[in-house]
Amino acid sequence: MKRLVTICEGPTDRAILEALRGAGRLPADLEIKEPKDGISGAAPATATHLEAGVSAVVLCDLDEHPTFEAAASSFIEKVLDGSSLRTSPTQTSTPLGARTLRVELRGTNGTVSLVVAIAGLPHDDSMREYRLQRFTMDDHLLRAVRKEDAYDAWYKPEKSSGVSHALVMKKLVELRDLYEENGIPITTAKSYLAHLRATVRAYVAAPTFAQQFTSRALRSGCLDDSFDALIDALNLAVAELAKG
Amino acid sequence: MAKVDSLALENFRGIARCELHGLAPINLFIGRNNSGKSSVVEALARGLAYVVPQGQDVRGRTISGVWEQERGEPASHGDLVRAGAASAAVSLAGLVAANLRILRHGDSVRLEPHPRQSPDTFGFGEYLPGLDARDAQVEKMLWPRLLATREDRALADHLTTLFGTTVESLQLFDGDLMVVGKEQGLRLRVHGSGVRAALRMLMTVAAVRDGVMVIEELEAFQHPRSLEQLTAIVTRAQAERPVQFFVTTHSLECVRAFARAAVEVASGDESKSPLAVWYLSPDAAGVIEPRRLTASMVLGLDELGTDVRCLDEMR
Repeated sequence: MKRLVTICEGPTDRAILEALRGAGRLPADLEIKEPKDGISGAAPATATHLEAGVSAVVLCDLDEHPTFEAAASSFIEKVLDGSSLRTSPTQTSTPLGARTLRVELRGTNGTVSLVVAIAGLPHDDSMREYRLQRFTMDDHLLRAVRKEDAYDAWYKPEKSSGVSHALVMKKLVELRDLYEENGIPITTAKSYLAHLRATVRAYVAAPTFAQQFTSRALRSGCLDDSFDALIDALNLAVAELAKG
Repeated sequence: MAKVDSLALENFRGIARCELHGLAPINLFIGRNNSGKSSVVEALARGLAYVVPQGQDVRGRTISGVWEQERGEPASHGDLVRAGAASAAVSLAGLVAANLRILRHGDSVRLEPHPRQSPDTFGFGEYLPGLDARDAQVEKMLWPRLLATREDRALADHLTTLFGTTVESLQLFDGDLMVVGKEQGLRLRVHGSGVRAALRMLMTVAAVRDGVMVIEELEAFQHPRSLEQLTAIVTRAQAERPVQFFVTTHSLECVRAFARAAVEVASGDESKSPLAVWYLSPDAAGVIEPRRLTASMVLGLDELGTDVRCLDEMR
């Protein structure tokens, strides 16, 4: 079976993708790579694979880009910059669905495909109350945590008499206001999730939390549609690359 | 400097077509079993043999003699020409150019030596399969020559570096090479395969002063640590003399070690790297479109856990 290389920007992204793959929501042959240098290493790592003649799917955060397409194009530019890869003069990047862009690149080892899928929930009404300004993979996780049975599926195995879901959600909003009043607004889902872990005294690293939460929620059948857009984007990318 | 820039094969052994452009001072061939690595290096050697028909390797063997020794019998037309094809062709370009067409083995060749290069100055250095670790002829034939140029000292130092045991000298007594340490001397033939393979390979590398050296499965019998040192020594040797290396390997450690050694020799300047790693993967029709990987690409892929020996498993 041929394997598909998927490069993500960091350990939390990797943990979530591995949990989704383990639950059969992503293809089993998806080989997930995480660059040692995190976000800054994603573009060079992708270029190295493409230059070796290996097509790749990359999962990037939207961050502060205005659109998914702008984020994907920006990443593609970073891949091209400093590599021997070039786009075909007649070829432009092709949107695949709402948050995915595909481009064909020519290098010394032939033509390869790069598909960039973008994570982040900038248009999700249920997330408005967090006033996020940078959009990342953690948005999907924070949205999933808002569902009580998913939270319970994760938290109950850890503490039988812990902090209730309603209480922790309330505390997150209070923390938002408190920080904002002091001139240090919380603007990322990553920060909210760090506060959540601190509030419930779950002293695990962010990637461990992401892996535990996602797999337990999946096992209990409580994971809502928070990751669906991402799962659809990645499955679409895989299907496109399988066509050749 | 002796250099083959490109090599093209057609219907040679199992390969229907394969072109390698941009050959480097050190060329490492990787790929599955039966992917064409050995066929490519044999084609290279046979092509060079037609450029230098009287050429011999450092052990005094002709090219066909080398392959006869390897296979135990002379090659037949069927051994060299792809099944179903009438003929095979091998073309070399570089300081030496040759177009070899094998119609029936041994009887029809067309030679086109490069006008700027006298064929006499380009020799086939050596073909060294991994199992030569068991061939004591290596030291018997090469030792006088190595002693004359005092390569024995460097070889003793290399053994110390490779295996961590101080080797004070190497001496030939009654046809037996003695490895002399601080407290005792041991005949090479009673040493393990790792020491024998490494020393015989290094003796051969030291004896080849120019031309082409082919090493099949350089990793044979080596622990990853000694392999790392061995590749560094070979890489440095290449930097010091006009020898072009063609090495086949199945070892990831070997690929990694060559890549690290090449980066070190190039001092961070990719254009000065002496290494090209060629990934061979034939399609169903026997056509190979080789992928050429640089040292930094190999290390970059390796850092992310991508096994460069299995690139055809990636979409």
